[in-house]
Amino acid sequence: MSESVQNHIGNKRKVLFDIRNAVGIVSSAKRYGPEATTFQSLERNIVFSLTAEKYDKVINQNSFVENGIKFTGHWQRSDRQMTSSEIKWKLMHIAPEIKAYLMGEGSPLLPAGFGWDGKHTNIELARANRIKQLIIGETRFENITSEIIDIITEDAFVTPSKELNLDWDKAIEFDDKIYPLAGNENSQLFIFLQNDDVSTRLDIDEAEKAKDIFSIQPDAKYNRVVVIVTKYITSPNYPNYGISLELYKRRVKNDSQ
Amino acid sequence: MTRNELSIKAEAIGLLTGIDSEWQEYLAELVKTVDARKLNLNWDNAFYPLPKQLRNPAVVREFKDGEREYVSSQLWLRLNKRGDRELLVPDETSGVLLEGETGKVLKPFNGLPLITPEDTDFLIRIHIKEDEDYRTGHSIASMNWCLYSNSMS
Repeated sequence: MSESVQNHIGNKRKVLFDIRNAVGIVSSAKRYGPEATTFQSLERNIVFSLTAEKYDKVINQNSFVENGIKFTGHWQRSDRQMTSSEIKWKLMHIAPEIKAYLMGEGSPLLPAGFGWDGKHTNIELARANRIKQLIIGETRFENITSEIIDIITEDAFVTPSKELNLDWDKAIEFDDKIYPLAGNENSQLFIFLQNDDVSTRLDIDEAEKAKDIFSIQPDAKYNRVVVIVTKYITSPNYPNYGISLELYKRRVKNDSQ
Repeated sequence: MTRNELSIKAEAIGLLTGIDSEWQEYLAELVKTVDARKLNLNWDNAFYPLPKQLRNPAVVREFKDGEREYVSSQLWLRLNKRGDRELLVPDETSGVLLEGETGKVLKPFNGLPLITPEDTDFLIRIHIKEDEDYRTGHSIASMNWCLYSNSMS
């Protein structure tokens, strides 16, 4: 895994850039609290970094001072400090928003549009992709559209990792029926029936779902089921959010018993 | 036997013949410029089995005038023993859309993969990437081919 760089630490800010002077991808973020920051990974496309901190009267040919802020720079590939003129040149060519960020303006998180869309980190996107893959399976898929995937992954982004079991080895075993969790008034229920050949979304009868005890009985040809309830986590202060994701696998019957 | 660069490129261009004409022209031009070692056409040592889903991780720059420039994307050339050829271009299954002028990340892609058609004997994964020459600042397209077969060699 690539080394991670913290963009904001104390009164210092550091940003990684590619060859086009564009900000490298944000890999993760601590969004709240005094240690809030984004992180970037030292991916292969990273060419240089710029660091800014309050001018401390210690300057040399490897630093550049502007408006009381001291900038230093580093060429990643050759592992060399930038000269003052190189730093000055780069500061003229990076986005003004990022120069302002380096100078300490605004949130400690990198601004939206620079390395991320301001909402989703690489880890979250990777998790959303895993969930998508879990839903569509590894072969054919039916009755599943990108709109459905979007509804689910949008909620999955804000679901705490510990609430999500994406591991079939830890699936709940079932014999015959499955009793999906009840959601709330904002929830949508999605059920995907799977075997090694296909993943298909079950069309749910709303009248059936409204019953006090709602259950489904997957056809015998399906041995795995993914049950997702959106807006599952209720919150008194915020709109309900997050998903419940349950994996079920059919219990293997032992004929000798 | 080690094949020479010319015969690999001639075979690659031959395989592209008959697909959508615009793609054929674009890909054939790339074949001419790319290092032949990146065109893996070793039919005796293809990857097995065929992937069942065809994905397209992509990075795309979109400019204000609507023009789209692919920084990287992945296409699939489908072949069968009857001689059918088809270029399959899945939706962008992962990756990001960037603002063309600034390189700002606008949104992630989350499309669905294509399912490999039944009547497929071989697939060639064609990964195209725009790299920037850090000395000149010009972008250079590079391409990698990877061959899959539905039978073990």
